[in-house]
Amino acid sequence: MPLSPAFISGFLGFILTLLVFSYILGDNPLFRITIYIFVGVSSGYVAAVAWHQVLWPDLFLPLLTGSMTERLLLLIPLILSILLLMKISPSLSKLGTVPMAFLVGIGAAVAVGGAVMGTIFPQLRASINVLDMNAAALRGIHPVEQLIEGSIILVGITSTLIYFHFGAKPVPGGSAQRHKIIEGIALLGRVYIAITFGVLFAGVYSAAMTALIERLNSFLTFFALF
Amino acid sequence: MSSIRCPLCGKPNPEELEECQFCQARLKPIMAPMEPLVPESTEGGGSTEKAQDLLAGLAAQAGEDEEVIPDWLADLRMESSPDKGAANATPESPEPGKEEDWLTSLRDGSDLTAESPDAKISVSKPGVTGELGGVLPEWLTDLHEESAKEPFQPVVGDLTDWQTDEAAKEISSDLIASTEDYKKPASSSNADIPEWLAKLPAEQTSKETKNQEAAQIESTIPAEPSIEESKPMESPVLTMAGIHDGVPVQDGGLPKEPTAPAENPPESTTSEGEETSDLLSDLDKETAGPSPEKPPETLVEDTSAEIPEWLSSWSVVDRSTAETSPEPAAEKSASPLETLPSSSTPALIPDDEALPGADVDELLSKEMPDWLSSVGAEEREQEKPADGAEITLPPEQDESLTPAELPSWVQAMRPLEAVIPGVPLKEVGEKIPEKEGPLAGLSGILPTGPALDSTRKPHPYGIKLQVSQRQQEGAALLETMLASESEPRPITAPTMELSKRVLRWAVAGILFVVVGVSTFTRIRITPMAGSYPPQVGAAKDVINALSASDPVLLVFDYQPGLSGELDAAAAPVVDHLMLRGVHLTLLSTSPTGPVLAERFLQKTQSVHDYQRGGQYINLGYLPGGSAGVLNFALNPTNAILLTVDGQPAWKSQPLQGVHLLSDFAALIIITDNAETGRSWIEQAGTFLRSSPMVMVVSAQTEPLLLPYYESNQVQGLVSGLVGAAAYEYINGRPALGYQYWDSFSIGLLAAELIILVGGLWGLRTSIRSRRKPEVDIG
Repeated sequence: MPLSPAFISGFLGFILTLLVFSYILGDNPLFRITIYIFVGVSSGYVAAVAWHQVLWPDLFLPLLTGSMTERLLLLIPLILSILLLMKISPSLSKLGTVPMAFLVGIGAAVAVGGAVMGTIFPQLRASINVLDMNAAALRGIHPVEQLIEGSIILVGITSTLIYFHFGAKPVPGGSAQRHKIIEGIALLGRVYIAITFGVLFAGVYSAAMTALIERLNSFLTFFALF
Repeated sequence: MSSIRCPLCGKPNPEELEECQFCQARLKPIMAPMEPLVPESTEGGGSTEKAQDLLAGLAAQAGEDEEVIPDWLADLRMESSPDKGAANATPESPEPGKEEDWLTSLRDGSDLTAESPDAKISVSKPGVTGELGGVLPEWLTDLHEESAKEPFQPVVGDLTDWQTDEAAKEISSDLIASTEDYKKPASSSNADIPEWLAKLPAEQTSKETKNQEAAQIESTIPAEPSIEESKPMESPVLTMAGIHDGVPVQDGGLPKEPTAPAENPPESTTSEGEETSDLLSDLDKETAGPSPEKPPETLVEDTSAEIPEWLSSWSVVDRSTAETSPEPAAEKSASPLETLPSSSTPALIPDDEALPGADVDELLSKEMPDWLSSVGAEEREQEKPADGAEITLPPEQDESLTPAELPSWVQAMRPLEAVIPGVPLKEVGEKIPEKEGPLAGLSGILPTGPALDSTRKPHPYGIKLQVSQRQQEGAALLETMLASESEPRPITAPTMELSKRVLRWAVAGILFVVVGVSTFTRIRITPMAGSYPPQVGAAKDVINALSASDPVLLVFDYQPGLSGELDAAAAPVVDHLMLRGVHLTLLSTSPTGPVLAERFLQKTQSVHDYQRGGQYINLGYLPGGSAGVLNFALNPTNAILLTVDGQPAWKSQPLQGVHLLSDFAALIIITDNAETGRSWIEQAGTFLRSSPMVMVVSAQTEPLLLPYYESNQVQGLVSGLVGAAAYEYINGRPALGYQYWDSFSIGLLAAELIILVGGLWGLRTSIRSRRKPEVDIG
């Protein structure tokens, strides 16, 4: 059996998979070695990608070959990057505050703007139109089915939001209790939340099961080489 | 036109002038004469019985005791002024008589002393008008005190105490005793001098200048003391009155005396007899004390009632002043204090110039000079008896002294009650005179202890903590918890660890066996689902709408750990794209994305023979996260310049004609993270315009991204192996989804069974745990 790249990769994959499966027996050095290898290889690969695909082509190459204007403009990200590296040293970490603040500010502004325009308003509009029979007809959905689906969605949204309403009045016993109506609706919202978490768990389990199948299938592929 | 001689400089002045034109000394007294008090004495008819009885009694007594009184009076005159005794014995009285002689002699004797400041010390000054706040000699005060001890006899009814022999004898004996104490050679009747009279000379003769003063008095006594010369100095008199009162005269103990005479019509003349009558009236009033039977002439009562305080104090002042003044008489006359006795001497009060009440008030309202104030303080100190006996000042004097006489440092030491509004002054309590220190002799200056205790007693605050029952319970609970923390606890052995590990091994073994058997055997026991989710069909429709050579942006944003699922989920979609012949542009926001994309194409799409740079291009890693996505959506050509191969990206074949994000025919996002998928939706969704967006996501992300499909922000959604199998089923091209479907189905069934068995086991355990206490109780 020749040492082909497929064999080597298949063998390494098989060994590493078994080492990861050893976690069934508990936390052990084999599993940790596998994790360390994975983290190390990933970090090295990320660093290589960052150099080859970001720093060199977007920063240093223009600084070397670009025009004077490009060089001057690129001094700003260069200085900010150097200042950000100062975070490594505790004594110089304050110098990295400026680029960090710049990154956080830009990230927050982008996230908020995108959330408002890309999530909140469209989702509000969709929730309002959940009982729009015309839209459902255009999509080929039966009005009754749309009505039932819309009602479930409406009740789910309302009850879930009410569940997170924690306003309550104090009771003689010293504790606080919400209004009975709100408490009943909140109970329904809790059911919706439980279903949602169940769906998420099913999705996680489905993803894990698919990964397991893929790994077992890789064993079969590796064994097929022999 | 008559003239008035100035009592200070001795120069004559016109009668109408009130002040000396040379020295501006007061020529006329500011006080009205005492005619209203005893007007009948001058008019000679229509007088009240009281005044008549008084004068008559005095005259009778004088006549009866001619043998005694004239002797000591004569001795006294002889001692003081032997050469002028006759002249003094004949005063200018409109009603001459023995009684007037006797009384006038007394007054003249004082007048003689009034001429000299030094003389006033040795000789008392009886002729002071009570309303002016003048002073009486101490012997008169003592007389008053002695008379007060005797059974009270109203003055109005009769003045028989002065007329009785016992009283006359007592007075005469006192006078004789006093003259004997002077140690004059002429005093030969020592046995007749009363004891009270002996006190005065005894005190005065203790000074070395006594004889000299007496001689000077004799020298200064005029042959016939004129009325003008005996005119008192009004201002000093008022000032001293104010000093003794502690407040301005209007507020002092003599507020009404100056004004009362003004209300009455002024008498035409004022004689010495009238003054004598006034003096006697005052003395009688004093001796009367708290007489329940007050005559209608209340002015007489008022005057007599208030005289003793200032008169007695003034007598003390005189003695103390004399004792503390070793200067010669000539020098003393220049000092302001020396004017006091002369001012207290009855001066000429023109009968037609009784001062109106307004003028008197104006004069009385003048502020005292500082030197007089200080003198007043010194006098009070000197008034303290040597034997330490307390001096009880009248209440009116204490009240007047308190606010005006306190020095600044004493005011600073005042307690808060004195300055805090709202604290009643009565809380200061009894006015106990100070015995020591600079405030000795003053009463009511400092608050008493009991008053402080009653007013400033601190509010009692209990040291017991005010807590409710609930708070106490909470504190007890907290205390119990803290106590329990310090108690050692036995370490419980992990008895359940083995069972959990076994359970873990059992679950893993079941899954391995089920999935392994299904994978290795490749059996088909579960058919493909006949129906598919609508989002999968929508994704297929989107891809079906693409034409050959359309640029499609394919984003690989998942981690290597979930590559098994996402490779299987994305394989049918990419296969469909390649079948459509579109040009693929690979991009990733994860550093590991580009290599995963290459691996994916090599592993799953090798049959299509897509070549990098020809049918597809890999732009590599897009840094910046959401900001990078937004940057790429705004201007793709500036966000990514080179491919992973280092070649210019936007000049390659797949990207011909692409300058904006909307130039892509479709955007396919393969991600295992809901945040990454949402970031592409939020940042790039609005820049796609009419270009569709399809997402291939992990099964764990589907619940979070499905709403975007419902809101038509994502036109197609393929999630997990189920979506992949459905897409393969729809597209009619089996791939990994179909290959994994049996194992996936059996694995899900095994998991469901395990969850069911586990749930039942937990229910059984719970029921048993609930039944156990009931059995124990039963």
